[in-house]
Amino acid sequence: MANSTLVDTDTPELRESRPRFYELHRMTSKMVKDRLALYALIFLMLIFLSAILASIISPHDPTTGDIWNRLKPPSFAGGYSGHLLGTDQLGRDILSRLFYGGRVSLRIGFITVLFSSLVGIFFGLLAGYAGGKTDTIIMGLVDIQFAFPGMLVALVFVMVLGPSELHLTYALAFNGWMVFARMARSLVLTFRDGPLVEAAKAIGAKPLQVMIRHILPNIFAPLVTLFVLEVARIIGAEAMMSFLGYGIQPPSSSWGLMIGEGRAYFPMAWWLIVFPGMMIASTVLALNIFSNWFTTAIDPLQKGQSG
Amino acid sequence: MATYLLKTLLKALVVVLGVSLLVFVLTRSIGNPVNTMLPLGASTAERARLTHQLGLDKPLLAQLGDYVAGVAQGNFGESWWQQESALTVALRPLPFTIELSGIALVLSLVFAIPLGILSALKPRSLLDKVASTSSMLGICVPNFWLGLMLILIFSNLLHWFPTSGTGGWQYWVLPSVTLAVLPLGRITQIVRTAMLEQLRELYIVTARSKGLPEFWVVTRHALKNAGVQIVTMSGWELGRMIAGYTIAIEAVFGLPGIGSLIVDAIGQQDFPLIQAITFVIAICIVFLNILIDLSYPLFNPRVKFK
Amino acid sequence: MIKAPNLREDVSPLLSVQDLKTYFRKEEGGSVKAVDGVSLHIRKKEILGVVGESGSGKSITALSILRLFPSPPGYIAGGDILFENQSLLAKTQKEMRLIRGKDISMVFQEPMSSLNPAYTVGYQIRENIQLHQNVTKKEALDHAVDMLRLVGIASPEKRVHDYPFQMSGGMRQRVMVAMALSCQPKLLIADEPTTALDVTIQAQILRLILETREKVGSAIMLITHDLGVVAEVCERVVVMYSGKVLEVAYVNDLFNHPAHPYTQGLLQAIPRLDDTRDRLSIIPGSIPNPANLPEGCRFYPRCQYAEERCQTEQPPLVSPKPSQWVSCWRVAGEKEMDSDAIAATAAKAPLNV
Repeated sequence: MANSTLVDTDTPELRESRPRFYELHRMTSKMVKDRLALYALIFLMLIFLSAILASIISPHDPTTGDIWNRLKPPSFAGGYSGHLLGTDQLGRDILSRLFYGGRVSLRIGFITVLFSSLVGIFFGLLAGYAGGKTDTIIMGLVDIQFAFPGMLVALVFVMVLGPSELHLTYALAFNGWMVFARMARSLVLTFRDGPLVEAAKAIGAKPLQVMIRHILPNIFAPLVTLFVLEVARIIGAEAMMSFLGYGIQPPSSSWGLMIGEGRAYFPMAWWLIVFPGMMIASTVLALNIFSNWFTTAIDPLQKGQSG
Repeated sequence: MATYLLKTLLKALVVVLGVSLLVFVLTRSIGNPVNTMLPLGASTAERARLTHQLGLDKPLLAQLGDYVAGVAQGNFGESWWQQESALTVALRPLPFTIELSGIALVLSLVFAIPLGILSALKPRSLLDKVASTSSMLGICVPNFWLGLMLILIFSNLLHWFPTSGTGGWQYWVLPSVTLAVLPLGRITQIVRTAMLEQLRELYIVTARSKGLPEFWVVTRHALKNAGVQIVTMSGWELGRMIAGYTIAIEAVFGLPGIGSLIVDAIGQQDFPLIQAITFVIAICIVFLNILIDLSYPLFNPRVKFK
Repeated sequence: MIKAPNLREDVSPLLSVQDLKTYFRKEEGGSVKAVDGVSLHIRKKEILGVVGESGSGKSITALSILRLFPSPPGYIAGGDILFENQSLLAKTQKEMRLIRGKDISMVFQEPMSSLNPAYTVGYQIRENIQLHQNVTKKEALDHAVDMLRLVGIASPEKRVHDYPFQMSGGMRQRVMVAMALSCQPKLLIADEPTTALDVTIQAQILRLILETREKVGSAIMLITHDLGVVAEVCERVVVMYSGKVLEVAYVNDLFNHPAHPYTQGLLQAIPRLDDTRDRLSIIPGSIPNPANLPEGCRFYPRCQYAEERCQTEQPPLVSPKPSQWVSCWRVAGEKEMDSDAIAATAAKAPLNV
């Protein structure tokens, strides 16, 4: 943000030097071979399926505890055989809670990014296409929000609205729209003066038509990539908010909340936090690998550059 | 230089005001903190008195006016929870968090720079793959969970380090390592990409054609030009740490930093304190950005401040 | 027109490249043969022109001499490079570093990007001097100022503290020349030193290289795609095409009696004052993709004289007359050489022009 106060900011070095928010994405390109992407995709599908079918495949009810069987270790670690991944402090089955928690974590991830991307794309297209003062104001907002860490704002947001899944979604979306706005705007600027839009204008298409029919399809692929990466980021953010107690509230559950709740017991019951954490990490990782594969798969130009 | 400073300060003002305003509107728009401040059995009269005392019965615009007037005099009001100047309360844990973040940043740079350089020198080598994979893992693992895992292994299992709290150097190890993992991954990748870019430049061939040793070519010629990107990224990461990552890390390790204060202030619905913290953090970040800006001429002589 | 005197004062070669093969390994297997059996030599204080289109392997040949081509994927697949009768390929990295910048130095095509933007030009020249000569920082800087003066930069004691971005392209190329000559190298390799510059500056830089050579006494390997430049400054010329040497000759011979069809085509593409043609002739087609080279003569797909033999067999470098070497079946065929004789000639070519 303060970078732009330099006069000579438009040297390539400085332009390049702005933080790359999606460095991770480039990183994946180095380690991704298609096989890895395939594993990631299979893993993601399993996670989605387990979330959708949670009520069918869960061996136990996630909310009913068996107080006589609380804090039982996983069966492979010598625990009570009825619970594959053990039980928590209320005797609830960890595996079932992972399925249901995944449902919540994924739901929040997707719905949040759906919100933030729609809002962001709208303002980004508007800024890029309208230019002038509209552009300055919108991008000024983006800059301010980027300059300031979002977690604090999200916490205040939830404090004010009261903790609930929907409010958490608002709070996180409020911190996520800027990336989409920035990307949509920059892509519009690339395309706006390009031959494609020129041609569309020449045959008499209206601005809105140009935007929806001609620009949006062209920026679709990079936006999908960004979407997936944002879902990954939001799942992490949701976990942290829930861990701090400002996200999902009991009796509902998410992976982050499971870690938060299990924390008090974890030195003696490690399974309370190890498994949910692994779920978060592997889901985020798989989403990143997938988004990278998507980029290289859909854009042949990127393929040559990777690695 | 004067123009630059003026412009920077103006922009800084916009950021600080923007963020403060946002938090102000958020905090005042919904919810009455009086309910949480008074015991459950408090009477309506008591509530009304406290509401009046806190100025919450005035119209929103008037409250904003009071707030801005206060801030202009460096007065954020009294923390409802701590019963003392909100700014004082907000500033007290700041040095601790800056120290912790600073240690974590140094830690990550110490590893990230050599790792990134070596990866760039031998792209696709085993080292490069290991570095890329582990930095990616480092970024995907939620850091509060990583902190808990480290406590589990190094405190509860091995008893090498204390689980939480402050004290001698042993207390700093686990939190700073946890905090360093994320920037380590990202800075390694930035160093790698920046160095790859620089090593492709023709002036590197020129430097080699002079007979300079490779170590010299890499550190003096390439690294200096990659410096702008590395410093920018490091500064950005430091900003994120001070007001983002430390919130969870300090909660995990029970540390008395500004991150813990944020959680407490929000838990207490202490509006003046929340505003003071936001202000302090915004100032920190603006200051950090100015520092980054000022460092650019060290690496790129073309940068001039106007 | 500046011509070097003392042509035959000392005929033992300073540098001799023998059947050099520099290949680049492809990711999907196989190699790109960027330089494929190039032989050439340079005498002391001689100016040798190396002419060719982009992709002919001339720059890679130059970089191979200093062993500065990107490696991996590049590697030397065969041949040798002798500098003062010592193999450069047998030298260790450390020994090589002592030669670079001191005995052999290089000027590149792009003055805008061949200087480090983060350091003053003085520092960059000084770095070279301090590395190879046992002098103090102050002495090195003074020397750098002298070199800048030598290459015709006004008020060098001030400009020495300038950064590259404060200089024009021509000035930067002067700085590069100053840097390259600062340790009085025995050989200066100039890789298209004027291509990126304005025409007027081009002439200045060429003259500068020649003048400073007079003072320093270096031999020069001038790589260019511009036959006009060659005619103006070189003594001998090597014509390269697709990683091969097609013709080696003295400048006068080459311009008056080009032997190879490619050289002939190149010369016909130069506009002349006495030209009566409406259009300049061009050689049809383009240089072959190095990843997919013709089996026989590299030039045959574009050659108007191509025969069956050209398609399958590579022509050897033969000498139709003293001091001229050509790689073409029309020339080799005339001589009715048997394969043994061809092999024998190829082995010593073209050292004894």
